[in-house]
Amino acid sequence: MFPASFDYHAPTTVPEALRLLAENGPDAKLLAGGHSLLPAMKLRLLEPGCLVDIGRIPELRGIRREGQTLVIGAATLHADIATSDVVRQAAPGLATAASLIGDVQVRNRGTIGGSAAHDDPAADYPVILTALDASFMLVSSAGARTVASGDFFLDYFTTALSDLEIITEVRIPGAAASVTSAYAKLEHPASGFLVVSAGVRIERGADGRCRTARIAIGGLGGRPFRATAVESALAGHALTPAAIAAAAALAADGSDPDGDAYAPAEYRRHMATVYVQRALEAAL
Amino acid sequence: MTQHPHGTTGLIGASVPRVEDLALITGAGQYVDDIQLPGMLHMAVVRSPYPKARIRSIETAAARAMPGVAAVITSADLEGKLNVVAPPMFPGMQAPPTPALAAGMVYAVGAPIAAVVAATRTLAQDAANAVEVEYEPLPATVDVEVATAPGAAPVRDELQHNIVYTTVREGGDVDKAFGEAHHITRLRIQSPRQVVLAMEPRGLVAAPERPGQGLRVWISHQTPHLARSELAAELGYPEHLIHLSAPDVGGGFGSKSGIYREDLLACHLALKLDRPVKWVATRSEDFVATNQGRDQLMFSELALSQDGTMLGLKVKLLANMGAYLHFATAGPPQRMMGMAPGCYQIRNLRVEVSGVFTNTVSTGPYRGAGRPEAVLNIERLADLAARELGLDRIALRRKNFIRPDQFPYRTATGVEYDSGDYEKALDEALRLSGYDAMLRQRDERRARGELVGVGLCSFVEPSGGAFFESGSIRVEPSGAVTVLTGSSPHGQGLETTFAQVVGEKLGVPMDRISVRHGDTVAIQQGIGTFGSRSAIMGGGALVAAAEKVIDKAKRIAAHLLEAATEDIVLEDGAFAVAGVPNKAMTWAQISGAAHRGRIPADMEAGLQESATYDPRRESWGFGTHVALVSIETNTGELKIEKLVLVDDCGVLINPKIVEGQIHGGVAQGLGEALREHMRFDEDGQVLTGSLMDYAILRAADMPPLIMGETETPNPFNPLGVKGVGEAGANGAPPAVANAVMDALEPLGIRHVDMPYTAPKLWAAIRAAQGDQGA
Amino acid sequence: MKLDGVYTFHAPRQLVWETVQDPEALRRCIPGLETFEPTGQDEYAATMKIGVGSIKGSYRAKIRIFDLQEPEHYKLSVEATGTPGFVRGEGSFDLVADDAETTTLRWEADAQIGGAVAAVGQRMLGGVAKMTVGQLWAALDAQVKARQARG
Ligand SMILES: Cc1cc2nc3c(=O)[nH]c(=O)nc-3n(C[C@H](O)[C@H](O)[C@H](O)COP(=O)(O)OP(=O)(O)OC[C@H]3O[C@@H](n4cnc5c(N)ncnc54)[C@H](O)[C@@H]3O)c2cc1C
Repeated sequence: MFPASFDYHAPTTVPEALRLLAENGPDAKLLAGGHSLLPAMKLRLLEPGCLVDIGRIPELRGIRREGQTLVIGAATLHADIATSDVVRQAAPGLATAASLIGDVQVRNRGTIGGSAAHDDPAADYPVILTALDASFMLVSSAGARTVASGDFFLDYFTTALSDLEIITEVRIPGAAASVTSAYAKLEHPASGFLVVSAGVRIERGADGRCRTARIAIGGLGGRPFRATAVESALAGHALTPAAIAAAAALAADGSDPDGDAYAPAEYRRHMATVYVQRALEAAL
Repeated sequence: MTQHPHGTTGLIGASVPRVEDLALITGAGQYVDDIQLPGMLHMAVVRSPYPKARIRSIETAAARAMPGVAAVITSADLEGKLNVVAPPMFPGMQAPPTPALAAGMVYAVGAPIAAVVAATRTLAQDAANAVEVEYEPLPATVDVEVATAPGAAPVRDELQHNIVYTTVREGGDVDKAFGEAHHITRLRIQSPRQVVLAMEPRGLVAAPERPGQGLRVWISHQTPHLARSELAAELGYPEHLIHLSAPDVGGGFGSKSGIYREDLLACHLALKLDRPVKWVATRSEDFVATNQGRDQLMFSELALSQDGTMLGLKVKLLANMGAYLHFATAGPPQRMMGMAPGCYQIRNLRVEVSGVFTNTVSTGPYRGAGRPEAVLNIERLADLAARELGLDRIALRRKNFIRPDQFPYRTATGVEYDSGDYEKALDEALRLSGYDAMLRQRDERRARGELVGVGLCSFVEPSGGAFFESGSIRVEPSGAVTVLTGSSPHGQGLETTFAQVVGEKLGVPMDRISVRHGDTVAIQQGIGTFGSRSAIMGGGALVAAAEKVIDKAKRIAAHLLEAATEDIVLEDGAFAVAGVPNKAMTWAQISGAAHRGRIPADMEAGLQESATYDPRRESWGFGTHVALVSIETNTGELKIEKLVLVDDCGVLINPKIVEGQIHGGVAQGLGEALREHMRFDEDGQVLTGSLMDYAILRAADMPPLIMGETETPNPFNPLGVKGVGEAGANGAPPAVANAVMDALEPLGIRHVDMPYTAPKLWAAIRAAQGDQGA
Repeated sequence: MKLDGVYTFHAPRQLVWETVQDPEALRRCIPGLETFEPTGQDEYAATMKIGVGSIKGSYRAKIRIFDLQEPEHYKLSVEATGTPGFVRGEGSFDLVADDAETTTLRWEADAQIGGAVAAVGQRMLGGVAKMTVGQLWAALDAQVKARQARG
């Protein structure tokens, strides 16, 4: 299919991009990797009159550590996150999630900010970023604000982002040696998007026991599902295989997924337990 | 660079690299969409999103007013003309014509309602989006059992009932056989509907030639001459004024046979506007505008004696044909008529086949075209019968196989199988797969609680037979050879295969031979490629043409060498008097003479001969496929651990190409077995209308294949060949199905329909565990 | 696609009834509604953006309210057509007065979605539909509260 025609701008700074967004009003859309936006435009699900390409803004790209915080520029490619030593060390679950997105071409175009802003209920980043307790730096001409993942991902394709804001950074706290993370994904056989996935973040005490666990599950609804039952079952306990299995069995408790033509709700709920267990095992 | 053996003997049987590949894999192929003509317009089609609706109004003014738009047409502009007309295959067949643009009613999602032509593809699409159609949605019928129930609403207004046709064939005394049976195995199977998904979607360019003098068409098609005939009839345009060609064609698998509505529209608009018009389907369009495959519902009963002898078989088949019949839509389920008994001697048969209208996308031939369904049916029955009688499934098969000494074998319904040795292929497959060891492993793993299964499928694969085929050989004055075949290929490597055949017969190296095809002016007459026919049919025609050319060349050689024609022999590509090889004449010398008058006075100049080939019978290839599978209890994930394929297609002209054909067939077959399923919801809406939801098998999903062969030459073909293009799609899915059911047997599961997706298997396992109180 | 649900308003049934029957309230509450013109008794022509988040398409819609049994039952149908396809649905709504200050609305709907949206969005149509309905109730709840506040 062919998109409707549109104007194209390629600013090189964030303020310039913000100005273009403001000038062009609701008709304007940010373009990052284009791997969600362009398919939607080709299907004429979206017909923006103006695209503001943020792919040439250097300050939006890159991975760095600020003390215990891992900071990733919004326009950083999936491929760069998947292969970054810094990410692998500080948040291995994020590197795994990035490596499981689409195929090589997709990973070499798509960006973390684009994926977060698009908020596809079957996308990988929202799940792992929720588990990692990440937050988003949102910038508009009015100023900047930071929104935690729990307040950012709201529902199907719906985030806290306004039309006039740009995500500039994703910030992931607690990159300490006592913290580890992992991600496990059941792929849809056609799209490769997740049917169900689990992101886990475990912080261990000096005694090796689990101090805190944060667990997010994808595929159970319009936003990542926090498996609080699993989290509390693990907190304070030794992470034995039996403890993990028992906790993982609670993964879908409190969820109310919608089934689709491929994967009925019951299957999703069961897979949630399987993949939470796999992610926990991978984290240790 | 490709290398051709420069020798000429032993070409048949050599794995010569495909001469086509260099161009195709370096992007130098010429497909329909590569064709650019001055002044060319682009067509876009407005389609129904409803499976059944009355069209209340169509508003085209806004679209017409858009820049670059040359025309917008609706059914009102066609005045009842321009219909796709399916040939009535059977007396009384209900085959209402399919208007190129829906007139008042739409009966399937994707039905064209308006056509727009504009200066670019994008403008055409913009304008198509601006056409406003108002619909009155009506309840749709999607299920064949609902459609055929008494009092069912007609799928189309003009229908009396929803049966396209019913054919019945009976042989022997079925009632008696069932009366005497010790046991009857019953089975209901639904074969999943598959989307054909050729890599190149359908498309064409239609261009008027000098005003009123002709229509030039390039179309992505499997059967150019048939396409031209149908186009002429449906356009009402003289056949001899249409020059049609199929350039490089990126796959067809049965779907690019016959004429579709968009083909008529593009030709009509090109003639009307006196401008070239191009239309190439988008992938989304291909999901609703191109024939799909399979979707047959089969009810069977197999009567057996206590020792497992198959006494009788009844099959009732309902084939979902969609709402609109295309050229070959009605054909595939007819395969059941000849193939119902498979490899087995079943002397009492009753087969009833009905085509059924539903408000779904049209179906038609897809790799195998009725064969995979028939094989699946009998091979699932064989396994179930063995299970229910407590017999070994291999022993049951051996007991009932048609024996080698019974060929040519006439089935109970009068179909003749030419040749075969089914036990040989079975034995080879068992040997290659390490069958006994595999069973032991299965049992050990089962004892540990794993779900592991071994399955097999012995099958027959009828091929070739329908229509004739043409071949011409022209020896150019230089001695180089131009081969013209009516078997227009679309990826099968026929340029290579046929050069091998002609090279071997004439003794001319392959680099001196070019094989041409696909053009209705260059090729006098011909049919095309489908139904695993080309090596048999196109090859047969070329052998006959080669014999004629050699005959004439011998007469010329005799004239030049002043010898008797009977004394001339063709050896190493040269003609000589037997026993006098030093005075041999080359093809160049002979052809030079033929083109320059140095020939007998009563002989026609030139050195070119044509032949047609029509064996008036089909060739029956066969084979046995064996699969080892495991299923993860906790997730339902299926893994094919081993797949062994033994195929017998008679003589192999090019073993590498045969292997490639089997690989491709297996890939599409495994797609059916594992994950591909075109689904509609109960309202008729498409549930799997894009590659986001329709799970085509990918390269990484292919298990390693272990391949073997037996070679039973076809006694009725001059090359000894049988078809093989569909073997993989016929044999592999039932082998996997039987393996999956073997794996699930300990849970008491009797039958699950393909595809075996993880959620489906998981649910089946869950339900069974619940039943067993686990 | 069949959907159903329950929504509880903390307001008397008559007030809820008046709100859900008020074209002005509907205009404000139907998610994505852009224009809303009466075309007859309880019939409206509308243009609306249907979708979720950033993925929204423009549709022309006909909305009809019928089978009215004040103050406890009504039906509403929407037929919307646009470039990305169509959305059609019919819902049946029952208002039950739990007590003087609480009203439970039970609803059932049958929706059909076709065209490009349906072809690519299968995996989430159910969820998205629920979410959209959720937005509708939340908005109506606000209207109900506003009315209550006005007294
Ligand atoms: C074949 C294929 C397979 C895929 N498989 C997967 C998969 O397995 N898992 C997965 O998670 N994803 C998958 N994707 C989606 C992919 O990851 C996309 O790249 C991603 O969802 C969007 O990122 P993008 O940079 O391409 O954003 P774009 O498509 O350019 O933009 C998406 C949206 O985000 C907005 N946006 C972009 N950047 C910003 C920003 N910095 N601030 C605010 N708004 C912004 C845009 O305006 C737009 O609305 C797949 C895509 C394809 C084409």
